[in-house]
Parts: sequence; C-alpha cells; structure tokens
Amino acid sequence: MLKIRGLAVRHGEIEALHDVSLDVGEGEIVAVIGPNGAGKTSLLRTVAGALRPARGSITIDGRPIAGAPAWRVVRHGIVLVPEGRRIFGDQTVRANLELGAVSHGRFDDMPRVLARFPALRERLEQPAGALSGGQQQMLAIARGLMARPRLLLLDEPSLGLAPRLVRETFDEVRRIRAEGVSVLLVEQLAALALGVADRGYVLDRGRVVAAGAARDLAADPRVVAAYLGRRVV
Amino acid sequence: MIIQLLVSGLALGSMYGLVALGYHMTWATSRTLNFSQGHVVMLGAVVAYGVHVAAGWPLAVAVIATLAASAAFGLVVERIAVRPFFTAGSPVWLLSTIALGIIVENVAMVTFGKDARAFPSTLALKPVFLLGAGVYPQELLLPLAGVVLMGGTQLFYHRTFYGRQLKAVAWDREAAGLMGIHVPRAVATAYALSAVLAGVAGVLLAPLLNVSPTMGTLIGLKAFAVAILGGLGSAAGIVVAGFLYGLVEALVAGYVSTGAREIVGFALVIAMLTVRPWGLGGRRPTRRV
Repeated sequence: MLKIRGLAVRHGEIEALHDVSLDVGEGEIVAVIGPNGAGKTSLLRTVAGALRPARGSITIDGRPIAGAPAWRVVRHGIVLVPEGRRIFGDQTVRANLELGAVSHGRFDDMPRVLARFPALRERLEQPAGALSGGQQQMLAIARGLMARPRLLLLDEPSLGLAPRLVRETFDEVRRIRAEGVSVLLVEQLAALALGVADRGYVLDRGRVVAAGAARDLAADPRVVAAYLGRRVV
Repeated sequence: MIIQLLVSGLALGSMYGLVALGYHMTWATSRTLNFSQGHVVMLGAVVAYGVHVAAGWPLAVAVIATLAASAAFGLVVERIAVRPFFTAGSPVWLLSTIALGIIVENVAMVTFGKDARAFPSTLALKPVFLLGAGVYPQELLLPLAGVVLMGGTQLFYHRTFYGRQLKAVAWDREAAGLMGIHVPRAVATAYALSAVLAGVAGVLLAPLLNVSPTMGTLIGLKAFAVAILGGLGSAAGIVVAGFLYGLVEALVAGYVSTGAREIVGFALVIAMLTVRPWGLGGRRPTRRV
C-alpha cells in the first residue's frame, strides 16, 4: 500500500536521506533499523508530511502524497506516532484522544481504543502531562489509533520505557496489525523490532544498506555485527 | 477622586487586557504577533463611527459589521503580512504587520479625516454617582464587557473542540498537524479572533476617547506592554497585568502628572524584563530536549 521510490530529504545543507526506496504491504509490519542519525526519523516524518522531500515519490494505494502537508496525509489513513510522544500535556487524556480524531471528527472509537489501554481509562480526566512515561507512550499510540489509521508509523516507541513496558508495547503492535492496520516501525532496539516485523530495512547514513525478511536480517552476520551488536533488551 | 481614578483605571485596563490577549493568541499559535493590533482598535472605532453615527445603522447591526470588518482585517494581516514570512521562517512579519497598520491609518486619514470626533453614546452623556464620585456608565460597562469577553475567549479555548485544537497547535504545532489539525487555518483563526478583540475594544473605547485615525497607536503599544508584563504565553497573566497597568496609569496620572503616566508604565515593562522576562503569569522557559 505504501510505496517510496528514490526519496531524498535535506536538512538545510545536509542530505538526511539519499535515494531511499521502501514498501509496506497491506497488513504488514515493516521495521526500519539503523544507528542514531541514520535518517530513520526523517523517513517517517517525510512520509507523514512533517518534512518535504527534495526528490522522489511517496504513494499510498497509488495516490501521490509526497510534499502534502501533515493534516492532508492523515486523511489518507497514514498516522505518525512521533518520537518522544508529543502528547498535548496541558489537556486531559480525553481531550488528547479526541484530538486524535480531528481528521474525521468521530469520537465513537474511544471505548474500543480505551479497552486496549485500561490505565488510560482510569485517568481520562487527568492532564496528560501528569501521566508516567509509559502511560504517555500508551496515550500517544491510542491518540494515533483514534485517527483510524490504515498505516501506523511508529517512531521509537520503546524510547525511555522500562523493559516490561517495551515488551507490552511490542505486543500491542502485534495486536494492532491483527486488526488489519499496517505498521512501519522505526526502532533503536533492532533485535526486538525485527522480532515483531515481517520485513526490515537497515538504514545507515541516509541509505538503505540491507533489506529483506526480518528473520533473514536478524540472522545476517553482517547486520548482526554492525547493527545488532549491542543488545539492550 | 480615588474612586474616579480606580474606575477609569479598571476601564482602560480591561481594554488593554483585551487587546493584549490578541497578542497572546497569535503568539501562542504561530509565534508571530500582529503589530497593527492598535490600528485594529482604531479601525473598530472608525468603522463603528462610520456605520452607526454617520450612516445611522442601529447599534447592534453596526457592532456586528464592525466585528466582521475587524475579523476580515485580521485575516488579511495573516494572509499577506504573516504567512509568506512565517512559512519561510523569517521575522519580516514584524515589519510587514506594522506596515499594514500604517496603511490602515492612512486610509482612515483620507476617508475619515485627521480630526478627532466625538462618538455620542447615552452611556457617556452624564455621570452617575458611585460612592460619591461621578463616573460615566460607559466606564462601568468597559471592565464588565472586558471580563465577559476575556472569560468568553477562555471558555472557547477550553470547552469547544475547535478551541482545543487551537490549544493543541499552541502546545506543539507539529504534533497538532500530525493529528490532522489544519495548522494554517488555526493560525488564521487566531489572527481573526485577536483582531475581533481589538475591534471590540475600539467600539467600547470610542465614546470615552475621541475617534481619530491615530487613537490606536498608543493603545496598541500599551497593550503590548501589558502582554509582556503578563507574559505572552499566559492569558491569565495578561488579564491581571491589564488591570494593574490601567490602575497604575490612572493613579500616576491623578496624583503625579499625566506626563509621568507613560514613563511609569513603560518603566514597569523594563523592570519586568529585567527581573522576570517571562512575565507575571508566564513560566520560566525550559529547554526541550
């Protein structure tokens, strides 16, 4: 459903991505791994419309979206859960969830979304800024789900979470896919990401240096040596 | 005399707060300011004079027309003086909004004339007595209207879905866009609303001050001073600062001299910038990682 071809993105003088091509199929979980500064976040932000590409095409079901502003991309069913959660800390949990539904204006998904995150249901009227880090991550994902994504872009969902919460988050990713939502996952914890993904791409200094089935990547000695060396979890 | 000074201080202060709230709104959503805010006050007064006093429209209709004109001007400012520079990340909006204000002032000079004219109002005809002091009913109406309008804006921001979208844009513009909020429209709305507040202030002030093309300049500056005192990021701080500024001004003018009024007012701003640059209600900026 998502097709990226020859994508280049610049940050001022520096080219953050060069000639990146990537696909996400219907109902797939695709992981993008690679070291810090490889351009993983730039990739997701460009797909979501927060960055404009310098070259290349991005299509969703054949419709071009490269260069479209974020609020239009959301209406194609592509939703980014950004790195660092970026929840609206001065508003209640409920208001955050409602804001997730801005693109279609229907709040009736809330019970279904809350059923997956009971901790949020108990804190609906609390300011989102008062939640713990793990709860904020849940809220960020829940807010993204309120937008009714067909393709969910997850940027470092494990960042700052305790190991137990990391596992729960990845279990959640599997459940989300089971409901028919495709997932493009960017993660520092490469081994874990490849464990949940169907396919993977290795990004280094803005280029795709390896791609394939997640299982094959995880077993590839070059990938293991270069990118899976330090196992954190 | 003290009662009169307090009443007129609160009256003017509420209007400073109202206009300053406009600075806060555009700052929160876009980190830009409409430096022609004072000229919108004038625009409100001049349009109200034109349609109500000169053309004889009923007051209610005249007020609605004035607010529509103010909102339209706010949208024009955003579209031609802010958006082209805002998207390019350039601070030119600072000059371009001032330039638009000067154009409006000159248009008013040509169409309305240089001279100040009185805006007749039954509420500013003869004073009523409050605790033995004579005050105009209009002066009592101002703080009341100011509080209602400032409260109304807060209700809009906190209780309506669109208001909460604007708050989301203010909190994190990029995240708001990623959720599907149309950020340019939110910024334009903030500009329109902020101009409406200034236009209302113009209509309310017209019977007390005289209507003239230059009446808004100083009000716009003082409102900016109030926004700095209260904290550009804090609506509550601005409301409080507006009343404080109005009171200090009235007391200095009454007990010292009218000449000292502006000196004390702007000295307050400099003092605030030295000891607490984020303002009365603002929060000390923390670096986001």
